[in-house]
Amino acid sequence: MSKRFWALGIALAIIGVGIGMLALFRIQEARDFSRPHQVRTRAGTNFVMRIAEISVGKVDTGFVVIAYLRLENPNGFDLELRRNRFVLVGENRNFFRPSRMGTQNELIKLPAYSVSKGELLSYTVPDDVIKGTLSLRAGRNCTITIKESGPFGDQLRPDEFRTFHWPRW
Amino acid sequence: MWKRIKFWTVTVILLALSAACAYLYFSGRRKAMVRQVVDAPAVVRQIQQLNELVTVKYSIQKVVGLEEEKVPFGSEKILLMVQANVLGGIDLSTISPQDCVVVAGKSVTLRLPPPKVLQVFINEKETQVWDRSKTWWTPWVPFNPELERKARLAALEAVQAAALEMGILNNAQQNAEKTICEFLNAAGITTVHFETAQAESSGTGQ
Repeated sequence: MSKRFWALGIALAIIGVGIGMLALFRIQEARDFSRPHQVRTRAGTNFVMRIAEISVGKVDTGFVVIAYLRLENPNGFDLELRRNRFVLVGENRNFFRPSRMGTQNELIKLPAYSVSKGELLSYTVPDDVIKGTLSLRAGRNCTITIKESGPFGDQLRPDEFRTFHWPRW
Repeated sequence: MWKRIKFWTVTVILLALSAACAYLYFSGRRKAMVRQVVDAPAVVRQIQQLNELVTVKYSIQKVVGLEEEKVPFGSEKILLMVQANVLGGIDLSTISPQDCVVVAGKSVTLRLPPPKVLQVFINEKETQVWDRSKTWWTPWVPFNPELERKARLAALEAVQAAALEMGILNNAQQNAEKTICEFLNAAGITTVHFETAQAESSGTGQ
């Protein structure tokens, strides 16, 4: 009887350790995903970009990828960033510019020493592009992978969106 | 004899005066007519004043779901019923004199900027949250107060995509051509031809 309890206890401990390690792995992955990146604009000004999360949804014209960004201006002067300079890059070097809905200005304005927590960029991409790797390119030097290669989209119904904090989706 | 001479003299003078009056009346009217000169910069200036010309409005209803994956486990879902309006049109402020060719002061060929979605906005009265839930086995995960805002933003994208699929840009283009045609007709231009970046079309306004 006690042997059974021991075996059950060991099994539960193994499951617990496994779940704990998986949790640690996912936490670390989320931290890596949203770590700050130093970006240099074409004019040579630096700013800090951090991806908070990525939403992806299926719509009538394909897929919509929404990137929520945290932008920080560490400079002592105001900064104006063109929304068009944040480009989504597909696996076959397809480039996508952010869409605008009239409510989003073309310029992202960052006053000196300020942080903008809720900037969003949305991209409409065709069905085949969503299956490959997706990266967000900003400035001259910064490319962040927001989706690793792999099939995606079959599990989404039309007008259904899902938010991720890691590139494995 | 003197009476006759007097009669004819007065008659001739009266006729001469009448002829002079008639001449002055008709020649004065001709001179008073304003001749309208139509040139490309003038036409462009008039069209630019229309700015972002909204020519079509779609009202779209959607049910949008957003599921947020939590770190490390669990998820939260929201289901939103959204009614939104999409405004389509043409930004005429970007038109330049090179986009306009005037022929003989009566006919104009105009290259219009491509139509676009000018604005998408949610009708708050008709929008509501239908359902909101999280995974039962992660009771420690708090509800995200930002989730509804994110769902609304996602819904705007879905609505815009639906409007594009329904052909809002074609409608915007056709209506804009009609409106500009009427506008230029009122300014004295009889024929207007349109060219666009995407497709070429022609319209005649009489």
